[in-house]
Amino acid sequence: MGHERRCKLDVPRDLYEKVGDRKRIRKLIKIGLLSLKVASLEREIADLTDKIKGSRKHLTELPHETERLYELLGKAIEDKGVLEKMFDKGK
Amino acid sequence: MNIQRKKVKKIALENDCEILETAKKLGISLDSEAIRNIIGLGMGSFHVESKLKQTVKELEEKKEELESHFKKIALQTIKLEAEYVGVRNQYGRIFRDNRVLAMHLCAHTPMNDHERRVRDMLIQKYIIDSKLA
Repeated sequence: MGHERRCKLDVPRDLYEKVGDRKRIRKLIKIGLLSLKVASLEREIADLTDKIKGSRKHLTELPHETERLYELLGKAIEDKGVLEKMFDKGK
Repeated sequence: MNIQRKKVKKIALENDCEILETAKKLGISLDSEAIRNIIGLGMGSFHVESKLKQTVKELEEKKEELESHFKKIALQTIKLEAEYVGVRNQYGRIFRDNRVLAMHLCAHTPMNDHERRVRDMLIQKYIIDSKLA
């Protein structure tokens, strides 16, 4: 009973009279919902495509950034050696 | 007697609960106004149900494919970011060590010109311009 009640739709009477056929009403609702679904999926796909584009850019830049840091690190390690030597000399 | 005519007509969906499932997935409540709009969309659609179902299927497949691709990129990014953060932290530690050593050197008197130049350059680098890259 409950399930049957849930599976009933309130269609505005003027619209119902205009269409005039339950079967056609159901069909139009299905087509309307499917059109919405298509629009929603298209939006999700567009969002995903943008996200992938952004991530790819980040992914391309990261190795260069890491490489730059490795260079700075190498130089800082060299400097540390010099600083320690000078510090020991000055003791 | 003033009998008011009901403004809605109840329509049973019979075994066709696909409508309810689709509406639920889309987060749409099927009140009479929403139904009016949805029927309006249905009337305005140039496509038949089977064509729309096919389109939905294709789009869902494409979405799945993109999601899987995005996950792969995200995994690669996590690995590279971990390496980047590791190197950055290591560099930060060494830089701070060098800063402390350079501060101690400020009080030292250099032995010769070369040492003075090196000392001044390192003091400039690690104290005066002390910005972490």
